[in-house]
Order: sequence, then C-alpha cells, then structure tokens
Amino acid sequence: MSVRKAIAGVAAGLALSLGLTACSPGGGSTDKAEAPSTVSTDVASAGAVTLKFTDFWGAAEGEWIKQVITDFQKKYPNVTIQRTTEDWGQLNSTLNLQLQDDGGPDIATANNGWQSLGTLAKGGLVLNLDAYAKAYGWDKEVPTTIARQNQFTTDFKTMGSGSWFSTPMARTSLIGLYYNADKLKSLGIDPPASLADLETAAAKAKAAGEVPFEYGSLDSSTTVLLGVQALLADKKKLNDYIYDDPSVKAADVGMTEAITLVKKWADEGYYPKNYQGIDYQTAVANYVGGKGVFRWEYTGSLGLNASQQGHYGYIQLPQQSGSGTVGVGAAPGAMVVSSKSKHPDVAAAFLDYMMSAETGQAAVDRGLVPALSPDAKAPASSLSLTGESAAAAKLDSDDGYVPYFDWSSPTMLDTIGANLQLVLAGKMTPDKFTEAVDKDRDAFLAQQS
Amino acid sequence: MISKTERVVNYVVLTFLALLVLFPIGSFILSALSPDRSGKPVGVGDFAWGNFATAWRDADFSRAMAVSMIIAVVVVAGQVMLGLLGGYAFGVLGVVGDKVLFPIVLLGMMISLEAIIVPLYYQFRTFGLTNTIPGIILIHLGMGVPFGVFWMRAAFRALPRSAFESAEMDGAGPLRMLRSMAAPMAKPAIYTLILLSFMWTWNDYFLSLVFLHGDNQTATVALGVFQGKYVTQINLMAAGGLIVAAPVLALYIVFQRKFISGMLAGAIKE
Amino acid sequence: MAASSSATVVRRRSLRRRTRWVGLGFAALPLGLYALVVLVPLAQSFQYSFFKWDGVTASTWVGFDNYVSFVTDPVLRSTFGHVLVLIGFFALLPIALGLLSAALLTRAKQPGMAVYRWIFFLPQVMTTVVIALVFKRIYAPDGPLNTALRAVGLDSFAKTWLGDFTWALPALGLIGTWVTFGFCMVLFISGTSAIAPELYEAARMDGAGPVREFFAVTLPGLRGQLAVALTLTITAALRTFDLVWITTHGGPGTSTLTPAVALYKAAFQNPQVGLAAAIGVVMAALCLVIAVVITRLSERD
Repeated sequence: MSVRKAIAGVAAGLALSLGLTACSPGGGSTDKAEAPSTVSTDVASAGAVTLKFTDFWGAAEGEWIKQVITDFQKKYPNVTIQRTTEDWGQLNSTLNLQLQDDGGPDIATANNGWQSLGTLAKGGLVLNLDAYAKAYGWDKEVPTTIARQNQFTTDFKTMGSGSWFSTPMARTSLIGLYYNADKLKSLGIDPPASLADLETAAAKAKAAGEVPFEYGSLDSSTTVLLGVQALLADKKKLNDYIYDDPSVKAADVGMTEAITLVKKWADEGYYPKNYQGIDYQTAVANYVGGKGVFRWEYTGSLGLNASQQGHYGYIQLPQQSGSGTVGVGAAPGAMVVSSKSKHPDVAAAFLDYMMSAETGQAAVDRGLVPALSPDAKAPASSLSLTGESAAAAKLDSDDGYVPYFDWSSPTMLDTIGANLQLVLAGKMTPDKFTEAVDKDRDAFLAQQS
Repeated sequence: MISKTERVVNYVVLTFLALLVLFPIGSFILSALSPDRSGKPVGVGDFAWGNFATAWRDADFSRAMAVSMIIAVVVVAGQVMLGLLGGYAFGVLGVVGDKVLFPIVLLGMMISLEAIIVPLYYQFRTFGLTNTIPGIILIHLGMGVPFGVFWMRAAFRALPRSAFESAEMDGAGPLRMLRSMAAPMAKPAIYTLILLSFMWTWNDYFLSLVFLHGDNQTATVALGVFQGKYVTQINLMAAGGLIVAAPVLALYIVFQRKFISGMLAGAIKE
Repeated sequence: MAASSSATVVRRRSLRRRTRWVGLGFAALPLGLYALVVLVPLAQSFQYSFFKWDGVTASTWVGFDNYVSFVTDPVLRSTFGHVLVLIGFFALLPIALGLLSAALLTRAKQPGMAVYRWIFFLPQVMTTVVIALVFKRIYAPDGPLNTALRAVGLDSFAKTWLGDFTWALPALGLIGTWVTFGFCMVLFISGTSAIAPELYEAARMDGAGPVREFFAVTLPGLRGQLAVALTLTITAALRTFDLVWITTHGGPGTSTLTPAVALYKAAFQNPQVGLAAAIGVVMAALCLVIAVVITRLSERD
C-alpha cells in the first residue's frame, strides 16, 4: 500500500534530518550579557548614520514619535531614522525573529517582562545598556520603580535588578479609573477619592439606572482586576512577587481580595448586561460614546479627542490602607537596541533623547501622558490629561509604580485572562483563581533555576 | 418529470439556505455603507459611499493591495507552471519512485502552516529572504506544489490515452507534447487552478504576518492593522474588509462559469 | 512478424523506463521547492519537538517531555475535545447540507439552479480575516443575530454568543459550517453528475420518490466524494486557527482553544517553541492517520 510506503519514507527522511542536524536548535551562546566597554555619547561626530526603528504606535502616539524623530534629526543632522510601524500583535510575536535578521531594526519597542524582553536579553539579541546608563546618568534620573522594569540580572534568573536592557521614555501608561464627568454631575456625585467612595458612587449610579462600570470580558480584559489589586496590595510585596521572589505568594499581594471584588461588582450588576460578549474595543467605544459612568483603563487607550477630554476625568485612587498612591504603570514600550546594530552609540543617544523633558512636552502637546518630565504642562481645558499628568507626577514622586502583573511569567497574561472569565462566569472560586496564579508563576520560577 | 409540489419545495429549501448564506454578507455590506460608526443599516438614499474612500486612504490600501497583487500574480504564474510540470510528470510520464514520492507530495496538503513556520523562518533567514517579496513568493510556491501537482495530475489522467500515443508515434518529445497538446487540452483545470491559487495567495494572512514587515505588508495584514484601529468604527472596518475581499470576489463573479464548472469537471475521479 | 512485435514491446518498455527518468526531471523543480519549503522545515519541527527551546537562547534536550505535557496538561488536552465538537460543525453538518443542496440542485433542471450554486459557494472565496469580522459583528450582543431573535419574540435565545462558555464553541463551529458547506456541495454535484443516468431511470421506473432515490442511488454513488469531503473537512477542523484567533483568542476561559491556537500561542506568544513543534507534529500525524483511515474505509467493499 502506497500510504504505508509514504509513511516509511517520511519517517526515514525525519530520521535522516535528525542525524544531519545533530546539533540542537538555537545553539546561540548565552554569554553575550557583558555591556559594550567603550561607549561614546558624541553623536555629532559619528558621521552619517542611518538607524532603523520599529514601533507599534499609531494615531496621537504615531504623531508624537514622528515629532521626536524630526527633533532628534534636527539636533543631529548627520543622523537619519527610518521608522516602520507594525501592528502590536505582529511586532510582539515576531520581534525575536526580526532582531536576528541582518536587516532587522536597530531600535525597537519590546514588551517588558519575561515573555518578550527577558527572552531577548537572555538570547543576547538586545544590548546590555549599563555603560550608557552610566554615561547618561539614567540610574540617577529615573525613579527606581521605573528603572527596575528594564533590568535583568546577567544570569537571567531575576528580573527587576541587575543590568539595563531597555529604557523607558518620557511617557507612561498607567492603569487607573476614568469617570464620565457629565454623568457624575447629573447624578450629584463627586469624583471618588477612595475605594470606599467609589463603591458608594457605583451603588448610587446603579440605583439611578446607569451602568457603573463600562466593561467587556470577551477578550479577557484584565485592567479592572489589576487596577483594583494595586489599591489593595502592598507595594513592595507586589513588586517582589512580579520580580521573581518565590517567598511571596499571590494571596500576599491582594489577589484574592481583588478578584473577589471584581466578581462582586459583576454579581451586583455593575457591568453592562452583556459584558461577557463585549470585546475590549467595543467597550471603549461604548464608554466614549457615553455609556457607563466609570471605566478602569490604561491611560491613552480611550483615544479621547480634544473636546471629549474636557468631559472625562482620571483618578489614581490612593491605597485602601491610606499609605500613599500605588499604581500599575510602565512606559508604553521598552526601548531596546539590537545587538546587531552597527551604531549602538547613536541608538543609545536616541533612547536617552526619548527620556528628555522635550519629548515629555511633545507628548502632552498631543494629549499623551508625560513621565520623567515634571514640568510638562497639560492644557487646563483637558480634564482627563490634567488628571493623568497629575497621577504620573504623583507616582514619579512617590516612586509608586508597580509593573504589570503579567510580567511575572510568560504565560501569566493567558492565565489571569482565561481564569478571570471563569470566575466571572461562576465556574471558579476566587481562592482557586489565586492558586492558579501561583501555580503558573511557581512553575515558571522552577524551570528558571 | 418531477411534480409541481416537489419543485416548489425545492425552491423553498434552496432559498432558505441561500438566505442563510447571504444574511451575514448582506448585513456586512449594509454596515459598510452606514454613515453611523456602529454600522446601523440605513436606507439606500443615506448610503455613505465615502466610507470606502476613507478606509482606502487610512489603511494605506493602495500600497498594500499593490504588494498583494504582485505576489498573487507571480505566484499564480509559477504555480501553474509547477503544476503543469509536476502533474504531467506524475500523470503522464511516470516518475521514478512515484509510489513513494506521490504520497509524500499529498502529505503536504495536510500539513498546517503553523507546524512548520518557525523552522521555515530560520531557514529563509539563512538565505536572506525574510521580509522580501521573492522570499514569500517562493514559500507560496513551495506550499502550493502538492495541490497543483495533485490537481493537474488528475486533469492529465482524464485526457484520452490515445492522443498521447499518436503524438508519441509522431515523435513528439515530452516537453513539446506538454506544451502543444496536453496543456491546451487541460485548459478548464488550469483555469480553476489559476483562480484557486490566486484566491489562496491573496487570502493568506498568517504567512504575511510573520514574514513581511513595514512597506511589504499585504492587504490582509493591512486589514488586520486597520481593524485593530477601527474596531470602534464598524462601518469603516466593514468597508475595509470589503475592499480586501473585492479582487477575489470580482474574479469569482467574472469567471463564475469557468470556476465552478472547472471544479465540477476536475472532479476527484480517483 | 512475431519477432518484430516483441521487439516493439521491448522498445516500449525501455521507452517507458526512460520516460520515468524524464518524468523525474520534470518533477524535479516542483519537488525540490516543496522539499525546501515544506519537508525540511517539517523535519526540523520534528527535531525541535524534543527540545525545550524559547526560540532564542540555547536549547536543552528533553526527550518526549513536550509530547507528555501536550497529553497530560488538562488545558492542552481539552483542545482535542473542542476539535471533536468542531468536527460536527466543520465536517458532518456541512456534508449533510452539501448532500441536501446537491441533491436538490441536480435532481431537477429547474431554472435558477446556477444562481443557488453560485451563492452557496460564495463563502469559500472570502478571506478568513473578513469572515471573522463578518461574524464577530453578527454575534455581537447587539448584533444582527440577537436583533433578529428579539424581533421574532425569541428574546430568551439572545445570547452573548462568543462570550458564552456554552455557546462560543458551537457559534464558532457554525461559521465553519457556513464556509464549508458550499465546497461539499460542489464536490457532490460533480460526483452526482458522474453517476450513470440509467441508475436513476431504473429507480424511477421502480416508483422511487426523491428520498428513496437519494438513498438508493445518489449516496452510494458518492462514496469517493464523501471520503474526500470527510478527509478535507475533518483535517480543516483540526487545523482551525485564524477564525478562532480573530474571534475569541481561544476564550472565554479556554473553551474554544484548538490545537493550532495552542501551537500559535506556544510558538509566538510564550517562548515554548519545542512544545509548539510537538503540537504541530501530533497534528500532522493525526491528519495523516485520519486520511489513511478514511481512504481505507471508503475503499473497502
């Protein structure tokens, strides 16, 4: 029978190929972690340089980076930056492949955490930036809770300390609470100043026939969970949990309380009636279109235009314990320099420029949330940007950032996303949820060591 | 022959099925023509034809469609050539070791792209062909070989044996026989192969997503990016979707006779 | 005479042998390209599947661990169950509808049949990205489907379709039915046209109605086409990726996760290239087994 022969042929072929390629895949060395030893911050004398730069920014963010590139090229006319934009999902899933290409980008936006940045750093695909950190003084200028987000130990067992492998920028993306100012006014509620206030306000809104929280869980949006968790968890413990400290457990960082509260809001009917069938983008559109009173959201993701910005406010609620403000936040992209780049000095200079006060002001001018630039001025007419900028400044000064929870393991985003849907559907208890979170992270830590 | 009642029942059932097929497409077209961002259908007079222009501009479709078109046209030409060569070899000439080779070729129709894409990427990187149009054309051609060979082999085998024999008697070499006799006789099957190959190449999403970046992005990937940006504007998103679907739909409408009858004639007669 | 004719036979045979080498020459280009693009990467995938590898750093040999975790991990294992459900929608239902429509279209040469045929095949030519967008909208909570249900008073049937743990998988499956049934129909029409008309005449002489005619003549005559349709649709169900990826990402929970989506996540989202390769190898093997079994069954008398 010919089919059997074919199978035999294929099997023989496979065996042969195994023999031929006896070496294991990806035999790349892991000892590329040393930083370049001689670095220069002198861009002007670097000669004519062209850098390829890949990012995922569109709309206002796209305008912003175009401006930043133009300004940088004006400052250093010998430098040309060729920018490519890609869909976030596409960039995220193919960046490791692109960085191994000889024609790949010199500079790119990676995703923090083990899933992307950690793997790139460990594989020696992106430069260790320590020498530049020293040359440009990043260690002093960047708040510790932000700096840690870009660091890995050179044995690649721990994130959150060690060497710089990426840099933040003069922008940030926070998770916080938006409110529809017109709705609050007509309901006669003041913007909440605490979690307790928020719950009271939500109950009032519900009683008045409004949807308290605009939310859709179809594609497992986790902003509400992470936003709430930051109010409940201890800042240090939460940082430690995400930065690979096995002695801290998810139950120690408010996970059970947070998921319980998120589920309680679902049971009280605080989300839209069909929230399980609403995807993220639709929920955003609904909220901007005037449905719902509050929304937990990443800053900048609502895409509010200038006139809408006057009608939506933003609050970074203080911790429930009352001890300062802690918020989930990070730069909207970790800037990396490819190990294959022929002009790392110029690339690093551009990264440094992206953290400057000018780029922060350029961000505010386009309605984006600035960071690392306390003097950036938001227009008073923009209620949301004023709130967002104030929140970022507060977190900068309190050193109150916690990273996104899903950085704790490569599979964490899947785990919390899928299990959140299970909890909301009543198919999983909050305790089991927390257990599943620990199981995911601990399995990852076990295979790291 | 058949009774009137049966005739009526036939029409009723078929019309019901047709409505089930058309309902999703129709409602999508109506969304694309809606001036409202939620895509609420409106009357004919209020159709917002401008949605197509807006989508075309915002999604950079003129560049992306050009890339897709170049890829599709070259792939179709190459696919037909490879199919003719391989199909003629397996169907008419016979191939040394075909008892093993042909099933291995068929195996290719059952392998999903996801299963091989990572090593494929590394392999093409060593050739320096990632993020290049020639690179993706080669991949499309290689992946299309199994169907092309299978399809043309069946078509050649369906041709009358006697024609080959008399040509052979006249001393025609195999290449001339393929060019001047077998290929013209297998025209319906070639038409179908052209259409299917165009359709598959044009509709590809995953391969382009992984292999092509920046200015090399194809129309389907551009649509993916566009829909990510415009999910909140369902009317524009639907318009973009229709723009990307248009070339294949146009071919399907223009060549509908040839297309389906080619499919029908190419009946898998094995 | 006898001598010369046997010489012809000998010459024919050697000619035959020679053309088989010429044939290999003809087939060399397609075969070479196919080997380069499909077979070599397939072999490498097979090799990767025995390693733990993040796609970037050095890999470690883990033997069959990746295969073991594919079978033992409850989430990954559940993907097989989902495929079984999808087979119902991607294979059985389209084949049933394909048979029905093919029977109706071929039995009578009524006017307008070509139009129906054209409509039924239409979904086949649309790109999956567009189909996914079409149905995401259809299934939206305030989308046309729920609107239609409410309009006819079936409010209680209105659901969050793709966000519902029970309904998401069938809802996805129905998209597959919608796409595939026209393809099955074309296969069956072509098969029916190859059935000798005398068989139908004989059946009608015996006073068979449309139903008996279908079971007595059409169905047995379509055996080959049924085998092809089953093979193609079942393997398509097993390989479903873009549709799920664009509509649900495998959610809610993991209720619509398919092997191909799990593979994609492992290869491109979580750096577990070895596991992804193992999933790919298992999928390819299953497809092959399915094809062999169905071919065998259809050939047995």
